[in-house]
Amino acid sequence: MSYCVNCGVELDVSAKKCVLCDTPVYNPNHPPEDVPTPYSDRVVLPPKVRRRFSAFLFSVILLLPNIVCLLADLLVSKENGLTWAQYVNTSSLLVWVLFVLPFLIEKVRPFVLIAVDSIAILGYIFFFYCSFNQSGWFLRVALPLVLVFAVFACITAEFFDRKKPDWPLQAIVLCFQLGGFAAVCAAALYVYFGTPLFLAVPVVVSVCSIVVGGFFIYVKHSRRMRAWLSRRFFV
Amino acid sequence: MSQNKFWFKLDNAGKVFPGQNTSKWSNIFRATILLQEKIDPELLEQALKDVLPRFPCFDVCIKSGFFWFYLEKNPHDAPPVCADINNPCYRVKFNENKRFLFRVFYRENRVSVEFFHALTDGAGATTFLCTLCAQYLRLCGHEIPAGGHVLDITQPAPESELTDPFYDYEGKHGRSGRSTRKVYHYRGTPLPTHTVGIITGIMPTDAVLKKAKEYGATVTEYLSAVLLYCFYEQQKKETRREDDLSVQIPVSLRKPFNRTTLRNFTLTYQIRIDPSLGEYSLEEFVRQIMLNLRLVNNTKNLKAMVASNLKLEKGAMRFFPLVLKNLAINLSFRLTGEHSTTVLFSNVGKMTVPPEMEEHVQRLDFMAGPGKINGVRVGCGSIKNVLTVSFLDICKETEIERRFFTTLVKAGIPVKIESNR
Repeated sequence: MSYCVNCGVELDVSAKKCVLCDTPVYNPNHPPEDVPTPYSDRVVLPPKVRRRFSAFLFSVILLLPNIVCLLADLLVSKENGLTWAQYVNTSSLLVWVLFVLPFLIEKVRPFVLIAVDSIAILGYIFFFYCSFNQSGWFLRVALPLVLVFAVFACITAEFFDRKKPDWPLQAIVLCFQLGGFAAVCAAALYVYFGTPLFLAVPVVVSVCSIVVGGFFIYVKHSRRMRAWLSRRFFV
Repeated sequence: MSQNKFWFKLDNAGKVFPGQNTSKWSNIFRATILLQEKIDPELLEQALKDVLPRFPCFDVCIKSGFFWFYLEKNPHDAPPVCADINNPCYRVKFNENKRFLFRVFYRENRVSVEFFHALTDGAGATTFLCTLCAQYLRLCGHEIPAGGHVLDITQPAPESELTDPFYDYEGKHGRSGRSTRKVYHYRGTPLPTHTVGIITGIMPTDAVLKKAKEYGATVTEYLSAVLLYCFYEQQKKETRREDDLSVQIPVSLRKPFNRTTLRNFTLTYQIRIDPSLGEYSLEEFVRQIMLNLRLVNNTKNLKAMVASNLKLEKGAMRFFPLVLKNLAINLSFRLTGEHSTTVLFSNVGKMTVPPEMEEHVQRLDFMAGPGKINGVRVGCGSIKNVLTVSFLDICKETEIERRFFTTLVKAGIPVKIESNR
């Protein structure tokens, strides 16, 4: 038998190190014996939940009412073609892309999903834009805002995925992204409406976000402030 | 409840566990007996088939009704007897393992059973394990009579073992023993999902008892105090915060209410210590836990806690469909479940087996499956003069375990360590 020189506990005859402190066993009188270890090496990992199957099932369930709506609309309003069913179908398609598609694809990079989601959202907005035949808000407001949001979301997702930042850095990134997005909103609204009236809210949000972001930069570099915040605001 | 009845209701304490069950975590525990000789899996399988009819409340599978889950007689004869694994207490899925809610493992001279908590508690599981091992030894040619925790398998299960005694203590004055205040949680580097680190400390029972008596405490009080003291020291080392520390101690109600049920019949006490009141010594921890536990551990208080649990079950929530109940239980467990507990210490106590069996048994291990937030849970059990304390931890670090066992060594208790790490 061997004892750990650090912890003082007796170790199993098969042990090559102390499991409590990793101190190697060195006992010339009783070298580690080649006996079976107390526990097996066989690890049983339960199979993963069949997410793809569930997603496929949900897709089929979603498809059925859409087909019914489509046929009903075609039968009822024969001359006008599709009317109300197109809203049901496009909304269902958007729901499917946003919430079901991620479960059908295995191991997909976040930016790919964000790109697909952005295209789906833009398509959905464009459908309504065409349906109501309004003046050019799609190209001047909706498109730049969705694209800028998608770019910011991609940057954030990749940054968080690769860097695994601590909480002050996360707060800094989010604050500056919010500030930047609010500034883009302000610019887009100004270009579209041409009046400074709509600038107030985005500008206030942008300025506040940048100020808060600056505060978190200070927090990141001040250990004392971080400790104080942890103490005061722990959940 | 007749033995021929086709189905059972889940007992009051067990009703929450299926709702908490997820694809990554189940409330499960393991009991192991080490015999003197190597296990023959075929004989063990036969012993299991012989023993299971004596435990009709374990010979079941779980089914979902409209309002509640219920247990139904399992059409299969017995669960498979499997070679032991490195990652015990992994999640339970109701349609695996021939739909049984307990698993049986063997390795060298060990026989282990893992029970889903909805089925029974530690006392029921260890009684089943002792009876299984006794029958196995009989098949090996030894004369083992019934007695102590070894039940007589030639007799049918009496009514008292199958009933849910909680319903006998329904009262107006309920008082919950739970607190929702947040406490310190030890966090470390997580091991991969479904894997767990086990460290078991084996020590002589009389040495632990002697040390506990020096403080005027019981073994549970002393060991839970040492355990909580380790978390106290860890918190001091980690952070300048002084969060409360809380140890959850399950208490079997069989002795105070003179019951012999094999189903869940436990309640948990939460003993809290507030480190912001000043520096504590181990002696003060033992004293605080001892006095707190003795203050709340009386039949009136226990009855009030049982009544409180029954009120939850018998309230308006009973009319909610099972799907909503499961959502509510799962959400409530996520939001409050383990937040008010730093660590769980479960002691099944000393198992008594007939003297003819004692010579064939080395020791008994009891392990509580790891928590979701509290990575580490601690189980304790003893047989003959051997007491074991087992840590199941989902973190790579072993700081708490090292502190705990070195504290015992410093107190003059010889500790031997076994691990799967």
